[in-house]
Amino acid sequence: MDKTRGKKGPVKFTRGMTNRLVFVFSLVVIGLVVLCGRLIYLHKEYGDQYNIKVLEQQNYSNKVIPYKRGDIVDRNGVVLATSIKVYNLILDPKIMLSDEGKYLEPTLTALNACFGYDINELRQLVNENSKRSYYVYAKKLTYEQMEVFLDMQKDTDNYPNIQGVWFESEYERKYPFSSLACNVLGFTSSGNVGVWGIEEYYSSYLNGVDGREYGYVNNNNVMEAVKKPAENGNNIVSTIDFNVQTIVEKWIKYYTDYYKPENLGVVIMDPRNGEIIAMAGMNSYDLNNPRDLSSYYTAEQIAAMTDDDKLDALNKIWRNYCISDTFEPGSTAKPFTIASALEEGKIGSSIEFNCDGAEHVGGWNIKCHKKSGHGLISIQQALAFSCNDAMMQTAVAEGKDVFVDYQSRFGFGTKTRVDLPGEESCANLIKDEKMGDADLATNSFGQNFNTTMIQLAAGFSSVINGGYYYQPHVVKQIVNENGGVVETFDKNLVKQVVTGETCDIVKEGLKMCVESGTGTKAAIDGYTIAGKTGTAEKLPRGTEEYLLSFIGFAPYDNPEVVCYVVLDNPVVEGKQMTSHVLEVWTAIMNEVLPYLDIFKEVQEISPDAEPGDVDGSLFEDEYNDALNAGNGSTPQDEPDRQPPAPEPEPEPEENPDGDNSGGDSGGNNTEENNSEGNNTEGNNQ
Amino acid sequence: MERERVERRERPERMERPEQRGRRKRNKTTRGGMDYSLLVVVIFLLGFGLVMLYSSSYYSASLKFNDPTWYLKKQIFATALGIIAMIFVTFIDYNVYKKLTWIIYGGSVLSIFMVLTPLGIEANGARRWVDLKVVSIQPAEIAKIGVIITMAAILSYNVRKIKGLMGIICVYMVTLIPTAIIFFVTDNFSSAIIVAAIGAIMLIVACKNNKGFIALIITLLGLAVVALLAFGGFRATRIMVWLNPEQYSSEGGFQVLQGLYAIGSGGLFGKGLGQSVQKLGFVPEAQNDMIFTIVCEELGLFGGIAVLLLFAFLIWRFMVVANNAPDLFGSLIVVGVMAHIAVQVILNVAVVTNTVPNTGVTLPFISYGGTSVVFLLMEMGLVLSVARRSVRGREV
Repeated sequence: MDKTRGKKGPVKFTRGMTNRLVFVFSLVVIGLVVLCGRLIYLHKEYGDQYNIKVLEQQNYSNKVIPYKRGDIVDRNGVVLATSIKVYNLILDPKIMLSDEGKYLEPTLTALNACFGYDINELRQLVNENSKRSYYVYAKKLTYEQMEVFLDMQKDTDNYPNIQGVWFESEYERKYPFSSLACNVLGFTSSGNVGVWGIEEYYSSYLNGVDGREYGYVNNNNVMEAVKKPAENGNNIVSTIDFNVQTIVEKWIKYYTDYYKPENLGVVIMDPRNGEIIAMAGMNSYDLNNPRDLSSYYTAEQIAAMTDDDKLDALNKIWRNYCISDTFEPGSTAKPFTIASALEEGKIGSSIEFNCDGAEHVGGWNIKCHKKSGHGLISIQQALAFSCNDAMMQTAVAEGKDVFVDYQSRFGFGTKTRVDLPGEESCANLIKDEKMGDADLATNSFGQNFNTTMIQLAAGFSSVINGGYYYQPHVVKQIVNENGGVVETFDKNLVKQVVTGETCDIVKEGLKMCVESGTGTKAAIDGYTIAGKTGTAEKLPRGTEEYLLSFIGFAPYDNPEVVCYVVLDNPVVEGKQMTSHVLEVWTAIMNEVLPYLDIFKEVQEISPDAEPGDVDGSLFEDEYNDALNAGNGSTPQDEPDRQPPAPEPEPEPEENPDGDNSGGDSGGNNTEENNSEGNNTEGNNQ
Repeated sequence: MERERVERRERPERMERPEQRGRRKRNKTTRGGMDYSLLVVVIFLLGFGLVMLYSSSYYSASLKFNDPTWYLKKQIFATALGIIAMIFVTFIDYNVYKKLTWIIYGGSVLSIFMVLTPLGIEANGARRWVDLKVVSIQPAEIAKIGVIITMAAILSYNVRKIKGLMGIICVYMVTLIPTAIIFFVTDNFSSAIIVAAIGAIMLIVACKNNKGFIALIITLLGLAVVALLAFGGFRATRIMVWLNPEQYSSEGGFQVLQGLYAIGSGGLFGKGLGQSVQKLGFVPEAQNDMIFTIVCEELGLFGGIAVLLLFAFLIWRFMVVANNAPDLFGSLIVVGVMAHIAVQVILNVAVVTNTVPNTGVTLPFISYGGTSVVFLLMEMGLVLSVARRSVRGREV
């Protein structure tokens, strides 16, 4: 070597080496070319397929961001229905079992610690679903529950390897007061489909628009991620007053237990604008669990039910009595008869009716509830004593055309268009112009045609507020999630039905009704209450089943609240006596009036006052006369009877209305009212 | 000696002339100078590598370390260190290593054993890293450069004395010893293969009458033995994964498949720099072995082939420099470096395209790895150093 180097310098790269190097280089180049070929092959053969795979793996490619359904609040902002964000727990067994399952045990332990789930059950579940990536394990967790787990997951120092658990948000409808105003509010199914009530009627306002997180592939096969936030639904401000509604439902429950009636409905509305302040029937249900029948049926009964039976039962419970159920109103229809006749000039304001106890109409002898007759009475007295005879005379004076015309003007037979689903129009339960004379006569005092509570309350409001018929409504305003007003439902004046003068005369009669007529038990200390009682014997006649009602308002001069109570067939002695329904009415209004800031007036019109003390009444004399005529007592009530069941029986004259001498004597009349024997007889006029 | 003289005489004219010219130029001190085309390609690859490293790593870096530039910063630091080392090595006469051969060899082999000391870092069941407190290094990378220098030195001394099978084996033992150590001590199959391949290629180039291929056969035999012995172990599953990645996704096919998806979904010109979706948690360790898949996804078939062409150009430059080296030692160093880079590039791309079973090989200059880039740049320094002294006119 040394020699070589000495001779020829350093050992050189020989030609052979160069050749072999070129050979190696060629191999390398061939290798690179093969790999290029492989790349091209992958591109050509699998490019589209792999592209799809890649896009498939993008888990944000299509994700719905749920919107929040709007709240329903009462007129003062009390939240009656709201949507709460809840979280679903999603397990990803595929991830838990990845990396030789090192995530499995820590994750299961964490789940157990945070939520108390059974580890063994979870483990089994994960192993059974090892190929899945999406398994909804638990639903409707609160944020607080989830937070504990998330904190643990974040704390990677103490809890490494917690993997494969996700949370997905959704909204759950919650009704903080469960059954309160259930018939007005309605509920939702599958989160955003309103069923009954405001939830159904205003569902489109309450619902928002789902947001979406999605990706799309643009022309260059690049995934573009787009996030479109959800638009939350609008909030609804109801006209319902939470406190009034609570009072109403409290007393409904109390008297339902007491009277066991077929139903007991209450509507409280503001006659100045048609706002419904409270509305409730007897059947209530938990809005948070609307399909639960257990409070109405025993477990065995439920088990025996078919699906159709269940649905029928539920529909019965969900039904809003106040707008969906029809009944013959009875004497509460009398103010309308009087008002229409006055308005058309068919009767003068100073007319005197001669009630002789019965009227012979169309072959029927239709009786007044007071068989002896009320004698000569004024319009006001006719209302106060609920004289059927006077009504029949009025109706005859009016004629069928006017009567029918006014019935429709007052809204009978048409929907009030109250903003709730399921309203009944009862159009086919109203007689038309071709009705017979007997129909006219009976219709005049509220028999033989049907109405709903809301129809009668809305019509009654127009009779006492100066003649303005406002569309009843349960929603005041729609506001967006930031409080901006979207829509306002102010008072909607549909028509003017009658003039103020007419109203004044009718109101006087209604006042007299409470002061000294059939409704004395509706008197509330310190207030001038006016109203009209109603007793209707239910079909078929003669079964001794009565629908008792009272509609009253306060204050007298400028009515701010109308309250209509219907007590359908109480199971009690003397079921035809309106004192039952008046008890309910006073119980409610005793609390509602002070709450609504309707102040007490001077005590002069107190029912405690001596009848002689009742002053200012133009009809004092008549009133006293009436008292005398009525054997020193006011009529208790006027359970109306129908001509088709004409009464052949001779009326015992002596006791048409025994009790309401209480009108003279004082307020504490419950005892006195129940001189049953008398009443029963009296009702059979 | 006679025979050699005869051989010399038999050489064609072409081979003689440059020597004479070189001698003339040496007198005029006009030697090769800087190989700028090689330098430009290396710098381009480094820059490209840093860009791709950032692109492929920022997502996982921000997840893991809450700092998108975590990997980038470390790599820039290593690259800077490597460039300094490269410049340093470039201007040192490579012949000094000849005298330090045994120190370099011993040092690089012993450094592998450092992983067994408490300084070693164990990760995923293998000890491949040494924590030097300031930096952590991978001794296998040192061993590669050690083997290159040692093999070049031994061959340049003894190339003509190597006789027969035993001679080849004896020389090849210089490579096989560190190979075995790497394989058994650090359990690093891929590094062992690379070291063995470097030695084999150097032998093939240096030994006349194609005796060097014996080394290749030995390597392949060794490979076969390892494959057979370990057939029940995790390397066997790798073969199953290779043949059918979909079916064995949980055993590693997932990684392979995701890489393939990335390559396949790139299209002709890719999704655009930084637009890869596969790096978002699908391709594991996208900044390491799998970085070529992200290159293909973002820059497409075009980008992937362009990278391969750059490496091809680099390797061609190595061949030119080796041919023009003033002495055999220089030539063989360059051949070793060329073998190193060629083997790693081909293996890496073959692995990510699922052409061969999966084994962890990084893509030179582009994959993340501080030790790798520092020693690669030192190797570049060696090549540039040889190029500076090369004989002009012999360029092919």
